[in-house]
Amino acid sequence: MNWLLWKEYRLNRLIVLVGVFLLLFPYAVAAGLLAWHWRPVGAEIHGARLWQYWRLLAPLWWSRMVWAALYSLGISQLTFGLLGGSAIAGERVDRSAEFLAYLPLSRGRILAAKLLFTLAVSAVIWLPNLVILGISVLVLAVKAGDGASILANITATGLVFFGVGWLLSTMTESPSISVCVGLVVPVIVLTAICGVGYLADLPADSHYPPYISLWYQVVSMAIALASFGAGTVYYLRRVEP
Amino acid sequence: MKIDPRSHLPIYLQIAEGIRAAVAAGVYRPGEALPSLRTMAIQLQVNPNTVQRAYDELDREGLIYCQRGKGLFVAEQGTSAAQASACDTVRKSLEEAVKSARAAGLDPERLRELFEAAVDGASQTRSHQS
Amino acid sequence: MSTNTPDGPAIELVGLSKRFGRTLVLDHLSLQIPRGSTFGLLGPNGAGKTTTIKILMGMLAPTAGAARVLGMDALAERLRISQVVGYVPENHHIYRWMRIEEVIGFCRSLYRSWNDETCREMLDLFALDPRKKVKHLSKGMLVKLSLLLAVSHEPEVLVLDEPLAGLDPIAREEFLDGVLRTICERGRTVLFSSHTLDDVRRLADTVGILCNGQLMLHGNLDNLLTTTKRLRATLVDGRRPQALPAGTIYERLDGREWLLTVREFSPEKVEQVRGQSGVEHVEVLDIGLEDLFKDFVKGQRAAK
Repeated sequence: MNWLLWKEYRLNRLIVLVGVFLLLFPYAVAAGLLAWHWRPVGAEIHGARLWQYWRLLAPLWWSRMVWAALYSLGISQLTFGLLGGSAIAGERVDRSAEFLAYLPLSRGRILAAKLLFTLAVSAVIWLPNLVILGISVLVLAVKAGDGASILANITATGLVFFGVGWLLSTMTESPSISVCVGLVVPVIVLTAICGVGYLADLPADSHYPPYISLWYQVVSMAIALASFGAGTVYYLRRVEP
Repeated sequence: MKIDPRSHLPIYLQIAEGIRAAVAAGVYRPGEALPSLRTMAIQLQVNPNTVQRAYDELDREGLIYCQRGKGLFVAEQGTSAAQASACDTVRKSLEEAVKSARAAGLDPERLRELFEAAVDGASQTRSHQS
Repeated sequence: MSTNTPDGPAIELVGLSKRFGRTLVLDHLSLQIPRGSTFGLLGPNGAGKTTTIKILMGMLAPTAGAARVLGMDALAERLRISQVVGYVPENHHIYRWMRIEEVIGFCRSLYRSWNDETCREMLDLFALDPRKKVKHLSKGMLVKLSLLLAVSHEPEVLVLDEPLAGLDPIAREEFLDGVLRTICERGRTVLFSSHTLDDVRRLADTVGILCNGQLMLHGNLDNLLTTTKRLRATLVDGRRPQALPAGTIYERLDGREWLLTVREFSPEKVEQVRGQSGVEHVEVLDIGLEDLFKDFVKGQRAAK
């Protein structure tokens, strides 16, 4: 399995690089903005006095961190789209799938390695951000309410990116098409839900109606799981590499 | 020893011929071991079964014998048997040559002239070489 | 259900058919290759050699019939088969960004019977630099690497698909060296498809000619070559006689010269030809593998 994981990493090195950028970019922006805010203050701060100013600036810092974490989580879902879409199709485009086809390697093991790799990437994307969000919530003493819904939407979107990309990846030889379709589906789902809501004349009582959110999450999860399942079954049963 | 895959002579006979010539020339002497099946096959780049057939043929002829566990060795009378066999081959070639000559219309006198010229030519070359 | 009996054939094809769209590439192909033999699969381009090999390796599903390796079904037990079969494909798609030592490490982790010693021997024999990346290898080195990967796990069966295509003479010799070392090991079975008839002549015990998806000619190579002869007859008035001897696979008329290629040759057949009216002079000629192959294929095409 080690060699398989190493192979996955080497194959997806570029995607990992993009993923790291997407993960850290929002924090870089946040740090930049904070540095800009602290500019006049910074000239006077030395050692002990920083502590006094810290207590003043802490809420600002952490609210910026919340923003950065959510932004980071949001755009990092693209990484899942890239990973899902290039999972199998990426090995067909350079025909290395034909090399694997005659080695004593089961499709199951190949998939397991890819999933393990994706899980590792997920952990790197989600855990640090969740930790930062957790600390922010504690420090700022706010209710997580809205935040939970936002996180749920982000998760659902990421799962659809991955699941649909995965399905197309098992069936085609083009990673690009697989990724693109995966990225487009959530847009279609959201539009469809809003459209249905509009046509059914349901009340739109805020700029972010809760029922749209809920429906979006449910439909997206369903699509993601179904696509992933179908793709996996298809790949395991297919004879050609 | 080289094998010609294009020749119409089966490869195992080519190998047998090659070994016979080597024995006749003293490359392998009576009592010496022949190269193993594997060595010969790799050296000549042929299937080891073919080499086995060649060895079997020579064993049948009495040119070589098999010692269990030790391999194949050139028989004591190997050199003379090889030379006898070489004579046989030459005789057959000569008979073929005569047949073609007669078919082409050459008379026996002309044939004898050609043969003597060939023999003289060969001994001259040898004296140049030694 | 698998039956890896020690006396069963190494490779068995039973009524194997494969259709691509409307084209029938393999047509009820049946063949048995006994253990310990070396089988040369010949055939014109497009005859179905690579298709057959891909089906054997479980990379293609047959339309009908079965393919078995060491008693195991090629498709159902692909994983078990891959542990005991070494395969050198026609086109190599080894990861180009990997170094040779990384490819070896990768494959080594997958095979139960990997032999480091054999691997080292092959690396030396082929003079491959472990630190070199696959994308920097010449065609010859790539083929040799493929063979190295195929034989390092001591397979019982070695399958080679047009392995010598495009190799320079030295690479060819080194490759044959590597293959022969396998053949010499405790009776392993080798199946190879090739166009270089000289190499088939050297290595194969048995040959089969695949033509139009069917196995047309099949048997011991030396036997085929000694029992097939060419008859060269001179015709008085250039008119082709009506009756052909049994087992004629090809005939050609060129002015007054009539060439026949006849299988299962016997002196009676010569007499039969000689006895025809208009036939003046009949000569019997030996035939080489290349001519046998060409005459056979041409004869099949003429018959269609």
